[in-house]
Amino acid sequence: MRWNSLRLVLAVGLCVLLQSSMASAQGRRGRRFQDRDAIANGWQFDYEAAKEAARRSKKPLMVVFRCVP
Amino acid sequence: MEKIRDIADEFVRVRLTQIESSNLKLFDFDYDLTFMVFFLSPEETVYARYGGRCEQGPDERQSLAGLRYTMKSVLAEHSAENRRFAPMEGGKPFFIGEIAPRSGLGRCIHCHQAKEVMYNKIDRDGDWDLNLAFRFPPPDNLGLKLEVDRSNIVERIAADSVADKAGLKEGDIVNSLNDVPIHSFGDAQYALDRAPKIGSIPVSWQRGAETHESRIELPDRWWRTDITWRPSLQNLIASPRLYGKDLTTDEKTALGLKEKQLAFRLPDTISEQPRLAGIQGGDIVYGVEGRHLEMGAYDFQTYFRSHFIKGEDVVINIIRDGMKLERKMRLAWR
Repeated sequence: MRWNSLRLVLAVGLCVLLQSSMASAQGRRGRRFQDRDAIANGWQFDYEAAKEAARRSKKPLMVVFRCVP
Repeated sequence: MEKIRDIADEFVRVRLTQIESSNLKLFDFDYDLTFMVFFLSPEETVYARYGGRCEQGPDERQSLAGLRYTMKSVLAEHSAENRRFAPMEGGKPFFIGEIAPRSGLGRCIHCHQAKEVMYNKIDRDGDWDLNLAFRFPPPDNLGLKLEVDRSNIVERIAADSVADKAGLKEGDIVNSLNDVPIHSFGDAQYALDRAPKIGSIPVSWQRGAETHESRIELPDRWWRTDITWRPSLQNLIASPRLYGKDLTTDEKTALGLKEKQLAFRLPDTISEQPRLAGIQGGDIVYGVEGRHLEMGAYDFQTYFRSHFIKGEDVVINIIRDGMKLERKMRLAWR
């Protein structure tokens, strides 16, 4: 019984670790994609927000697809 | 950014680094590219596309000056009384996630991978067509070469090409092709992607103060291009599986062939692909599809890879016992 509880605790711990590692990987990836220079130069990374801004300003949209290796 | 800074603020600029969340009905482009720009109205209709490449290299068809030129052209379109838009497929939005497995673990689906997923689905559904390998053909296939830095101006028209016969000349500004407004090379590729396989397409251009209109007659197999640079199509690149030793000049002369003409003798043992076509060891290969090729056996491999794809039937021109023969060879599929 004690051995089973230990295994359960270990499994839950492993899941928590894996999830936090995935979240931080995604965070790193997000930061890498949205580099500070681009944001400082007026680039947005949220298409829906950009569409709304285009509607408000009546400016055309310039949408760039750029592969990040 | 420096080269476009003065006009950049005329646009709401957005950078998309993940294709999973993009409506591919709207953002329909050559997914083998690593850089593509769409210009849209605030109502989300497409003015223009900028981006493109060819087998000669990733930056042979794009430049910052060209991007700037297209941006200015789009701004003029945006403020015109009668704005023109690129036609697009109707129907409900399409996201690659509908048919692709979840990328998970923070992995990104590259654009070319989206294309692979789409093509695998088409293949699984039994709808595969070899011509899908040749989407987004360049206008060069019609004899129309556009400038890189002023991307809707004709740089060169190939003599006797269909573009030449339609009346286009160097320096003309292409207004529209196949009813797609042309601001860039990317627009021309999109226009030709929508063109029929046979028949003709309308073209309109500006020469000085005059507007001209004509039709371009589409030649046989006009849409075919070299696919060897495309990451998504590497599994379609074909090999002739024909190897051998080049004939000497004297041997060629004796067979009535020209000095620089392709001619190589196959070894006694050959692979299954040519054997199934009725080609035999010792045969001399001197052409493909009746084309006169000036190259050696080594360059023939490269030529073949860039001109034919797996699944096709290709006529191999051979000489056996002094007789010129043709053998239709099926290029092994998968």
